[in-house]
Amino acid sequence: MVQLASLSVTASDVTGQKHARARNVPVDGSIGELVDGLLPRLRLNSLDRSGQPVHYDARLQREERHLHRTERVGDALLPDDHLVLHPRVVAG
Amino acid sequence: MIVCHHRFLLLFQQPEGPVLGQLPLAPNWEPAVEWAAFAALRAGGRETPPHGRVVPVADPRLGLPYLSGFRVELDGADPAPPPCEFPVTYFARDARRGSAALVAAKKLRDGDTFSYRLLAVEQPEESSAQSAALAFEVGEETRPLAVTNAPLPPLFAATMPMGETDGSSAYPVFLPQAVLTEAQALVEAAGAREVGGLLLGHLQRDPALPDIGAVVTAQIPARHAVGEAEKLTFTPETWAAVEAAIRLRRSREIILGWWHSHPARFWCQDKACSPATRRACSLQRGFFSSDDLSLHENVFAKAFHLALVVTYADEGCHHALYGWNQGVVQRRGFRLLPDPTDARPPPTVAGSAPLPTSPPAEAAAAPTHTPIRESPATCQPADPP
Ligand SMILES: [Zn+2]
Repeated sequence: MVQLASLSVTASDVTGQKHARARNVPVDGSIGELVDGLLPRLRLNSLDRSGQPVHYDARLQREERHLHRTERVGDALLPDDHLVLHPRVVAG
Repeated sequence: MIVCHHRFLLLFQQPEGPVLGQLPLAPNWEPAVEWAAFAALRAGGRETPPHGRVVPVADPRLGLPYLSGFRVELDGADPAPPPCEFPVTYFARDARRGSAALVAAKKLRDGDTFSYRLLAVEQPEESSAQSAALAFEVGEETRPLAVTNAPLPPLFAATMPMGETDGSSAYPVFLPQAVLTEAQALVEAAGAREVGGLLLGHLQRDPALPDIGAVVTAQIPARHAVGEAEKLTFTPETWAAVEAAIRLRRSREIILGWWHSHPARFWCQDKACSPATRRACSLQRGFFSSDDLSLHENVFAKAFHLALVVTYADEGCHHALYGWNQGVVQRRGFRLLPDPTDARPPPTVAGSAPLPTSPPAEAAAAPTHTPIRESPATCQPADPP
């Protein structure tokens, strides 16, 4: 079986209005690193207005599960998988 | 990609008095660019990705570096849509933040009147791209906005205006009473806990007008959101459940916004406020908190996105709708689609008092310091008429 060194995935925000494609994602990287790299291109804030970090879970559409930040890209993802970034956000 | 070759700042002054200080700004241009792109689409133009340039507009009396606002020039459309201008009030919340700092530094007293001016100075372009810890390429992809073509006049004829009187820039929003009724039932059942959900529907374009309206068709309760007395947490599980519910509906709906409750009748119960004071309390009248604003800015950043607040007040539930207007979140009106099977009177919509998040337009000239509400836990008397 051919082992990929990198892969491409697509991602979107929860409203389905913002989309990005990540290319050449190293399979040895973590899901957390992938999510952190996707946020700026999806124009999603990593900090809220009070400066607190906003937590995002990546939802893998193919398996309908949230990935853990420490999971390895090569273990969790297949080429052209789609992720939806789900934020943990608070209304007052 | 949003390009800006200027650094913006606010200059604070007391009327006829000395300069009190200045506040460098780190503007979020996305709401302005989104608004410009949506305005072009509403006017019958082609859809453009929210990319463009931010250009200062000189104050006609004082000249540069003093500004009367800024304009957004969109990329990518041929012919290019007309530039969309934004007033100084785009930075009203920054002005209040700056004034709060001046109060803390004892340069201003709470309640003092002050004015602020917007300035811009040139600076080399900074790339908005951020380097990720993991080296890979990320490109934004543009997908067409889901818009259906249909005439809007029948919807206007079937609905009645509710809430605030909107400015000419507001896009029409059509909201069924059934959605309000369902939300209200969930709010009343939750008692002292906050609850919420998502608003689904369609964007409908009428090429003859031309304009685009947001037609709400349903609300989906956020079943996995964690509701407490003064906050509601939308967890990743919340979004997963909502996505599953939308798929099950098979109605090609998009997420038009969100809703949540403020169980104000349960707040401040340990305070000995008279019934009259409670009736006049701004918490009972409805508001959009700084947390609400932060959530809306981050998750619901498209110009058509809406937020409905259901306030569970002493005298029952009332509703207020919020949405983007020229890049700023403001309380706004909507058109209520009556439920033909329901003979009850239309729901109560909160009054027209200005919001903490949306100062009146004249505020740019001489705004009075108003504290930003960081928490709904403090009982406050009504603003003077
Ligand atoms: Zn709220």
